[in-house]
Amino acid sequence: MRLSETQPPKTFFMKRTQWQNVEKIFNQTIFLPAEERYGHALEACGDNKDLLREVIELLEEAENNENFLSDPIYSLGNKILASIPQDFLDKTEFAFYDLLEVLGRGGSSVVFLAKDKRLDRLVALKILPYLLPDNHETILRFQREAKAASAISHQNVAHIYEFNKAEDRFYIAMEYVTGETLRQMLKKNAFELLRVLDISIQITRALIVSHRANIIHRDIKPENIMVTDENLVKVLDFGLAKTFYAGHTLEADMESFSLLTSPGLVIGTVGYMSPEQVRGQKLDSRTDLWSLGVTLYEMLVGERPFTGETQSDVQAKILLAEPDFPAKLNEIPGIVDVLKKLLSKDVESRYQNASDVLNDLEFIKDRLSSEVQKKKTQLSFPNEDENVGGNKKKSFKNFVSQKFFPFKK
Amino acid sequence: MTESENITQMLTAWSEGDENSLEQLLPLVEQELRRIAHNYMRRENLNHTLQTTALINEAYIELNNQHSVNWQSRKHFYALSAQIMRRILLKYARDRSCAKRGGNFSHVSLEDVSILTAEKSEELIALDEALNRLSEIDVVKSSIVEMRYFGGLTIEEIGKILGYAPITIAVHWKLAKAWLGREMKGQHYKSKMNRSYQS
Repeated sequence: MRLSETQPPKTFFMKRTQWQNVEKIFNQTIFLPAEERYGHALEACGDNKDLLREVIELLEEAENNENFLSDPIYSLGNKILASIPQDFLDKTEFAFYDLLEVLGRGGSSVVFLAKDKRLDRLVALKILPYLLPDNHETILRFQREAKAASAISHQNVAHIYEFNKAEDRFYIAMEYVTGETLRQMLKKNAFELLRVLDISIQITRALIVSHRANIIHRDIKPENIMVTDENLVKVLDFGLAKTFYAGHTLEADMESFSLLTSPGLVIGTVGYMSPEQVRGQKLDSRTDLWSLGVTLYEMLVGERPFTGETQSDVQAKILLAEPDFPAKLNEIPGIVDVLKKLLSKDVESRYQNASDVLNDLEFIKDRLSSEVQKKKTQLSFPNEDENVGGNKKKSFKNFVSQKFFPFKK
Repeated sequence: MTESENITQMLTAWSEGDENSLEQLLPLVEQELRRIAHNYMRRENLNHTLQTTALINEAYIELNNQHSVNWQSRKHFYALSAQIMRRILLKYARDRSCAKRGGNFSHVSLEDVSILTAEKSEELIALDEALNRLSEIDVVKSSIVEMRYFGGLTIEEIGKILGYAPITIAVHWKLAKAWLGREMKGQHYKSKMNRSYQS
């Protein structure tokens, strides 16, 4: 149901008798032919204007086919019932692990901070929903990806330790990373430009090694990126985030459009999806470059390039709209070009591999650093902490125009 | 006393207005509904829509003695189950909506599969509030909505439970639906207006 904002507020708190009048007139009127309803309501309500207004509004709403309640909810209720049950959250042991605390839970999976009893090592243990026993292909595909992902050893990729099954559920044990997600950081305050570039470069490095191992992330977004206290970026859920659900919730094709439009059910965050993902086409590593572009844009501008009221609006923008590049971005030479090339709707004109992105980002960063160095030798700098806690856009503006003044004289 | 006798008794007590028995019943029935939904999902494709009525039926049979199905307590059981479904959905929606506002998500992304979108969650919460207000002016309509929308019961089944002809239920349903739809628009407006016009 679309919530209309043009409707006036309703303060008509009804007394029982008023309600019975409303009900009586509504019931008499609703079964009349449409053209007779208003006349009848007018007559039945006499000079009681409040009553008439109430009846008319209800009659209008009764004709509204998009009424929220027309969409049954109970099948969703069943899915929730079948998802991770409460008593599961109270567990203290699972497979070879002591479950220490719940780090988070989603639609149907839950992540514990757990201790591997065999190695005495802390892990993030993600327990997934039941897999269909007959869906061998998905399981095989998932196992293949998990195996490939666990072979990746790189400081910017959260390590996958184990993929296995216990108590009818699949689980993934991965490196327990402390720090904040990029999402949490974005909520707090704007980033310094050099920090943005540094984080993007580290994400890009993670993409390079994973793509080399033929693993596509498919779900690069700030929620999946952790930054440790030492400013080390760790990309989470490589190759696993979406593969698992591919055959699971969606029969064969996870990226199928029908899923994305089915009411109330969404996989992932639409805002970071590439056009080919939205269309449900076959994906290759270049989809991650698009999502990297959305993430980089968000860090720089403070909001996503494609936004809208509903998921469908966002999808339409992803497919059709060109993002706005605020004029301030031009003060960082080259960055708009990088963004445009990452956010190219046509995969062929997008960056073709993560290494090229890395080159360009490093080039921009090096130039920026040397500009900063040069400035530093020339004049004293405003306090770097000045913008902390400030409004994102303002901080960004302050940052580019006041802190560095790198390219403007 | 066997468990099924116990449940029948508790259901009867609840229908007679004993709130204590409700508190004992809720976890029992919820656990059973969860267990059945789980087993079902394990056997079948997750995509396959499990009819709530079927789920509730199975739970009832499991919890009761199969041979002595007592329609009276079965009616209460249906109404109770619809209430449980409402609570479960609402709890989930509130968690979702809290997570959206930057609640306690940390360390590991968990947004992979969301059963409810944040948008839908907000709508559900609004519906729940509107439904509470409806129950203040017309409790028959609010329980019909609960059974139909949350419990997935048909007009005919609700008619049997409440002891009305199906057509009567259909008429109630029509007005309840319109009233709630209108109310939720007002509510949306209300939140936009910063709740400045509380009645």
